[in-house]
Amino acid sequence: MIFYQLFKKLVGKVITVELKNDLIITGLLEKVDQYINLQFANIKIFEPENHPQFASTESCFIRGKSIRYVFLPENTIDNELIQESTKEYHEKRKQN
Amino acid sequence: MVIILPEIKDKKPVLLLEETILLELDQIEMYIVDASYSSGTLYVTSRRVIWISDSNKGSYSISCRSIVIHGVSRPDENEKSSFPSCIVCQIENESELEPFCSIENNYVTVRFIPTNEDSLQEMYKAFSKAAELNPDPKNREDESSLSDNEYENENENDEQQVMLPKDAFENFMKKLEVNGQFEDPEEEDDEKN
Repeated sequence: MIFYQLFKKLVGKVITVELKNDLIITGLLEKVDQYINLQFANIKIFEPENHPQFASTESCFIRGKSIRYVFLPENTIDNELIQESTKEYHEKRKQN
Repeated sequence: MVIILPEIKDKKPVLLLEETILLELDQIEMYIVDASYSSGTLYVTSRRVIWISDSNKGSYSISCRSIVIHGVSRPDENEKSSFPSCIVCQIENESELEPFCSIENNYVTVRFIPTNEDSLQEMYKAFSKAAELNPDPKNREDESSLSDNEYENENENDEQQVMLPKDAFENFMKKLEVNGQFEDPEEEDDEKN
């Protein structure tokens, strides 16, 4: 759930994602859910010549599972907060 | 999961356990890669995307879990070869069958072109809703005990593999050769020899 919280903060910002099929998309993040499915508006594809099928796509929904990387704008995340939350999460899991 | 043949009765899909129809639209043209299948009726359900041809081009079902990305595509005036406004989606082929693989390793591009462009938002929302309703069962962060059972039920239906029309397959094979990425499928030839 940590990353869901993180992504919720990114809604309304322009971010870039790289998918497992090598597609790289930049767009305005409109919506995110607990599975990290992402909805974007006003998207731009990196190297559209390599992915002609998406060259004229304006909005899209990306399945969380297909994401390889998310490129975040600087100062978007609080590293310490993430580290603490991750530690807590793992400790809870160990207890369960 | 590949694109498979759904069970049809009276030109409508037979729904699975607890499956509901989110959207039904007719006069939708479907393209798989470069091949048009002409007009048909699109059904977006809580589990799958199904398209049934108006003529004799068959019927097709795609599990929502296989749709890696879907989007609204509008033609760019600058583009040479562009499709009309449509919903474009990329499907991950998780099986080992060769014929549906695209050049980019196991991904197939499918388009749904409505006669009326105004339908696009409706279609996009339905696809998105369906995707949200079908999270991946192996996701550890969300441990849903029901999800594995649902997955099994889906496979128990008698659904057959579908072959692409000969033209589409041949065009696709030509592309592979041209790009020099034609690799021999991993077959167990030893048995035949």
